Amino acid sequence: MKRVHVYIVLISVIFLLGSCKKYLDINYDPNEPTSVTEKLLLPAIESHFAYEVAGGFAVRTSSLWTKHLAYAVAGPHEGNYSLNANDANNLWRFSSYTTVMQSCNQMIALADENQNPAYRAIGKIILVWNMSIITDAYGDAPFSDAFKGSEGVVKPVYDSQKDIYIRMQTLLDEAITDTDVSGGENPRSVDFIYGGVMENWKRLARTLKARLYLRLSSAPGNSAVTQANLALQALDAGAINSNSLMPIFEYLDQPNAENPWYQYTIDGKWSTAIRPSIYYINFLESTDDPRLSVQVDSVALGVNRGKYVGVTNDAAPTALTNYSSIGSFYSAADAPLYMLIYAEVAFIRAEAEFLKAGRSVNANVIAAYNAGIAASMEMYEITSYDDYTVENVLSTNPTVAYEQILTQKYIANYLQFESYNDYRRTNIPNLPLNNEVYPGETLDIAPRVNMVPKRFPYPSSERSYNPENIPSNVPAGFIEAVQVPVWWDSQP
Amino acid sequence: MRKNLGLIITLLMYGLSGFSQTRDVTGQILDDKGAPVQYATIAEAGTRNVVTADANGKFSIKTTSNPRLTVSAAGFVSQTLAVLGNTLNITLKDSNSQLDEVVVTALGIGKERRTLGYSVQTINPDQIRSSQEPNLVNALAGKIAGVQINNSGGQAGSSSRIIIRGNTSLTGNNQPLFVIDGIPVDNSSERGIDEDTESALFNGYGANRAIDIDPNTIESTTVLKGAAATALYGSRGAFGVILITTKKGKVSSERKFPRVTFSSSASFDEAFTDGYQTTYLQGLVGLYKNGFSLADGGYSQAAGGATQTSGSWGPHKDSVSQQVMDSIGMPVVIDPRKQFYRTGKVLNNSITLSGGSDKTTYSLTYSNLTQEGIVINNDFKRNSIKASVSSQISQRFYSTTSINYINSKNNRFSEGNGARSYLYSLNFQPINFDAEKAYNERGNYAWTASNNFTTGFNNPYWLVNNNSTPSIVDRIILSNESTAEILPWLKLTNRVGLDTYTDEQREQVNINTISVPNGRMYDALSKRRQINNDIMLIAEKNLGRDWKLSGLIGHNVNTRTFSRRTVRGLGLSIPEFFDITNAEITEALQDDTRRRLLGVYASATAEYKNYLFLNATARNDWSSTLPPGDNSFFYPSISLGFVFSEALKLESTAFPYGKLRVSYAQAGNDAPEYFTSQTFIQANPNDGTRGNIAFPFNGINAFRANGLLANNNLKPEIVTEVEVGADLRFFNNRLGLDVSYYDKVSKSQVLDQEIAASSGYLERVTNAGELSNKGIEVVLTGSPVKSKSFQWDFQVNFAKNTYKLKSIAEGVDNIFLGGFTSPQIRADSKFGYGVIWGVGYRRNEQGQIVIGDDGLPLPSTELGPIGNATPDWTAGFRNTFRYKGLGFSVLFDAREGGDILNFDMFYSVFYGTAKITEQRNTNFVWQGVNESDGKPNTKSVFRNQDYWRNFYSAEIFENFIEDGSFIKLREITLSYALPQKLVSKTKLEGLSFYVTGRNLWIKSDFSYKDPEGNLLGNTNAQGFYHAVTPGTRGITVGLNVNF
Repeated sequence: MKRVHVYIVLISVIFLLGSCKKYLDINYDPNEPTSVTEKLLLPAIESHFAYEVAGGFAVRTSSLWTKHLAYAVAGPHEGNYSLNANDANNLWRFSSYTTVMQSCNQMIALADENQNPAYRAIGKIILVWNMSIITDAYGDAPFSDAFKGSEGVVKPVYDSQKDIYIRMQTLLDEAITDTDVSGGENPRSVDFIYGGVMENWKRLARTLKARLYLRLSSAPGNSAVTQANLALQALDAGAINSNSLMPIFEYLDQPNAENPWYQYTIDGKWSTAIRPSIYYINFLESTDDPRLSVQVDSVALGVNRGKYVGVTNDAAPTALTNYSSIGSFYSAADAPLYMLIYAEVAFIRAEAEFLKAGRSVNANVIAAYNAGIAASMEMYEITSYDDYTVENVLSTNPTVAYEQILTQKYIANYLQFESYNDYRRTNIPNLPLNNEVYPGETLDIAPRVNMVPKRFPYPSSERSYNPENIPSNVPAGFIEAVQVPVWWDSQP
Repeated sequence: MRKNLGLIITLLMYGLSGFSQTRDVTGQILDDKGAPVQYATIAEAGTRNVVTADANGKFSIKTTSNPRLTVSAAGFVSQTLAVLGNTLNITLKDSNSQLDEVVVTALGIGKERRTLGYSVQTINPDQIRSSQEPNLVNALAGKIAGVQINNSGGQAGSSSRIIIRGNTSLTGNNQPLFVIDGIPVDNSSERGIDEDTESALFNGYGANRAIDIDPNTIESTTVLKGAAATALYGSRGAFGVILITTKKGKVSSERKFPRVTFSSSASFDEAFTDGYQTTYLQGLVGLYKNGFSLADGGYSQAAGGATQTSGSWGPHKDSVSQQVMDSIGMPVVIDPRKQFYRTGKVLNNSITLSGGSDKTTYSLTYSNLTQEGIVINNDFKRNSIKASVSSQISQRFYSTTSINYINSKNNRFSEGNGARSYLYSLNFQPINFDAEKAYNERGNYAWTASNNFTTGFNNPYWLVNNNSTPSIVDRIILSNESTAEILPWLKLTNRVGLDTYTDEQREQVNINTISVPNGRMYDALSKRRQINNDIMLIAEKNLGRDWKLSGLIGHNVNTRTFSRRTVRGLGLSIPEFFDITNAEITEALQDDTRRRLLGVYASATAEYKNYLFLNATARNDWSSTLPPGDNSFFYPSISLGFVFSEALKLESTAFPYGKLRVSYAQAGNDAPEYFTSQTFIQANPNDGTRGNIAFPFNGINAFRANGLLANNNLKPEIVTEVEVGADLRFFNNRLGLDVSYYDKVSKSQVLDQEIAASSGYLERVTNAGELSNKGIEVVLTGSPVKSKSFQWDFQVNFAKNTYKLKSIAEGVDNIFLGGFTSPQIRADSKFGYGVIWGVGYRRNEQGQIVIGDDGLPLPSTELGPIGNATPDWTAGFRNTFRYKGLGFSVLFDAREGGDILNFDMFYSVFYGTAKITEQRNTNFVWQGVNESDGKPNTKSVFRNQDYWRNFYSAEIFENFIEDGSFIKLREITLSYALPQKLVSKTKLEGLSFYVTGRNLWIKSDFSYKDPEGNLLGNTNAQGFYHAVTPGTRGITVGLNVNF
């Protein structure tokens, strides 16, 4: 009798062990899906790209270096050219490689599988767009060997910037081809940028091609004329041709749905000290530029009420409310983010025609130059700018004219990372160092480097986890690193 | 099916219950002078059947038909004897050792200490209670060698970290398993929201849930430190085990009414407010500013305007210029920190009813603890009711059931780096600005005259009245243990337990709070549940005169689930109204995890001639967190105890006892949940600082790639530990020395290893890393004086652990533990565990600080180690004196090493409130060599405002590394028990009073005095002191009554 009970217990234990396979097969996260569709990936890609990359750290930093903005707190900070490997980490590590670009790759793979050329095209365009910001900021970077962590490649080798540019053009060509392939699913409303209008994506792809061709105008081994011709070919094939076709991302005046500039500089969550610089405001004021009142808000209250007052990269001597903010055109809660502007297309054409003509001014150059100013003014709905056009008529002196083209591009590309690229490529405009002082004050923190930084230092995550592949010409210390130009920047 | 296992087994055992004989044994335990021995332990050898004698030495125990009882008591030589009749009067021989006491070991098996091949340390309940800590973990501090406690801060309801023998796992939580009466219970720290949505860096952590355990219910606490001791707990015990045995009822058939024990105490706590200057007023470059805007009576001594400053860089309070006094009069000086903190109070009342018939005993404890923290509106309240019934259902079947309901309420405030942390403004408040008055008159108005709620500081009084994170925990711990005696030498025991709680946490941020100007809230419900069942077949048999064999086989099922539902509201419409309907935007967040574990285990012990003891265990686990089909893992242990003094006949009065221990053990550990399959995560664009876009956005949902690369080839991690030790007694047992040395290697750690992001992933799940902890633990006990009326005992605990990270993974030499990207706390292969990593001084090859032309040290060009938060050694020293009914005990607790990154000081130097800035406007020569010529620096620098702001607190974080070493007078207690003669004239059985002081004296070089404190709570990232409520010292008075 006793034994029987013992056996029952033992048998039931054994029986229970036997069924343990199913009992233990529960290791699936109920909060995270294991598979998604292109339709779910695309809005993630676009929103992350807009908020974190096109409107994120890269342009926040470069705008301090191009002096569009300044950071009015005691440094050292990016405004004093202090940008260490930690600071440069998030853009590379979180935003680009593991979120936007990785999701693009996954969407491209899914679109291949499901025969959805529209998604594949958009995936490639945003992949290239993001990669161009990475290579322009950091130089050589993993690309052909990147995104292979699941295959065991945890230390990707770096591609030269030259090879990255070649591959980016190829990918854009593939994307353009895909926009013409019919069939498959159209993203429509989940495409925040163009609502699934593939013609617009095609135009954007060609615009990016032109931008990237022109970037190499003085890259070692490349001829300015060849690059200009390639850029013009891309534009002539049908690029963005009006302000209404600019890629923008619309935000909402609701908590945690607001414009990135608003969240960064206006609403007080982070800092309200990032404002238009003294230099830039003075520059626009001295040229009577009607765009001042759109790009910059006048001071709303206090002693400077109604005036345009800029800040420097140092603690302001009086309350921050006594200084101008970024114009609400860019920084209202529900302002859209301008990811690329139409005026740039005109200025690319102006410069390309100028270079094509052996660095001289002709009618094509003048027409494109004027179209650029017009596009910029009209983007802000400024209608009376004739005085300004007259004042800034394109010179026939090639040196002066070139400077005018790029200066106008610099103004138009307010809060665009592109203006930092153009500055490095051409050294125009001739920007003074960030060592201005407030009237009657002294400088607390001098710039950490005696030049406008030439690049971002490689991020700390790569220094920690992939150090052997980082190009040896870029030292680990950020002060030395930011003085090393990227490949296409062969300007002295 | 499986869930019903416990029930089936229990039912089966009821069926078995008619087959064996039990009996009641009652008796009294006396010392050799005939006086009763109080609270002796009577254990049936080889079983969990343990009772405690009462204050008069009387006891009653239900036993098997042929029991062997072991009787032990502190200060007496234990005896084990076979019992024939139903009464047993035992005389215990005086001793100073605890050689033969019965200690509770893994799975609740009572064993004589002398038979163990590994180190075990116990704490008696008086030592837990006397500390008067609401959090049980804090009550263990200084009392056990090799156990390190760190309290995270002085708010009521703060968490405490406990680690045993160093950090065993690189990224696991390293917290030991808490087991109450054989049932594993949860000790998590809950947050109402996930780390990605609101980082702990800006909020701090809540309590670890061991805070729910009422110390009044504890009978004894045993700490199992090494792998050999915990092997039977399997993966749950890899970080050590805290075994708690609760009080049970005692037979009291001679009494009409239950025995009543009442204890009551009141404590008063005071904050340490060291570290701040109280001599310099608000202002800049020595000129005074009073903190108000012009419209509100603002004043600025500087020409041209009344803009205010956050800095305390104004004039010395005793040299305010005539100009200022003429304008606004003499500024009134306060000490803002002293003004802000109130006297904390703890009221603790507990009542226990207990008793029993010869078949059934019961115990019922209700306790209420009400703590008002040192911060206004910060409180912690705990109500606990615990009932336990033990029943002899039939002669060979007995069963104990316990139920414990706990309700813990806590209202706490955000700590950490951010405007919503009250410390983030209080610590920088100038001494001329009365923030309390400003709050009462103007609301959220601080000393930067800002009232646009976008910049500057929140008024600290505003924060503690308008920002809080209340939490209400309802917890139930249920357990049943039933034993059937199948044969005289064979028993079947089943133990089933449920530990479940809900934690309702809310966040309430009122409108007009700087950094969240529109207000926000969340309402979160977290639920945790753990069900555990062990069924064991236990055998014990004597084989001849010399040999005894015992052993068990068992089966374990464990399931743990967690779920959290958070509704978050952003942008409030109506102030001070924290209902979700008041939010402009709501977000729903959820988090769920579930895991299961099955285990089978066996243990066998062979004893030879009561001096050689060999124990072997083996366990196999199957875990749901490992890949299906490859989720099984096995690990063995073997330990040997050898009482060489007896075997070699060495015993003498000078050397009565000597034992050697040696053990080898492995312990496996499974993985966190959901590491085996690749997933996608919801889109959440953000800038890593404060901004983000919430999804669904504009009605569209989205998912993106997950940065965590899952691994479906995951293996369990294995800890291998070798321990050797000796237990030596001298001079008639007046002096005892217990030494343990261990060498613990953790291999193939389950890591979410950070990898180069260019791989497409942030981190990958992998088995990698090898780390070792080697250490020594010494427990020295003694009784220098021992007479009938006076006794002096002491105990010294000392532990030193050396951590070595042998490898992490190919090409990776560090793992991030917590903090910011810089500074951060990390594990580093070169520099150890808990390395503080950031910008240090630039040093030459000789290690000298390099000084620039301006006479100031240069910052290092690369980030590097600037400190190490892991202590070198810890020690406790307790002295107890007893003269008749009068007792006096003193506990010192010491920690050597363990650097602290004082991130508060980084800011308070900048704002000029730090104590060291009192040295402003003096000259100083930095020790170091010149960058230019390599010669010793002689250039003197003038330490003006500019020096402190633009050099000292600008970049070099090494300036803020402080030594966390301390010696604390952790407890000092004076107690008095009324003489039995006096008491017996009343209806009372006993009456005692005591006064305890806590932290009354601290010796440390830390700026804020008490170096215990950590923003990152009980996580692996220790040493991060930032906007943490300071530690406290206090006094408790109390009484205990029995009747």
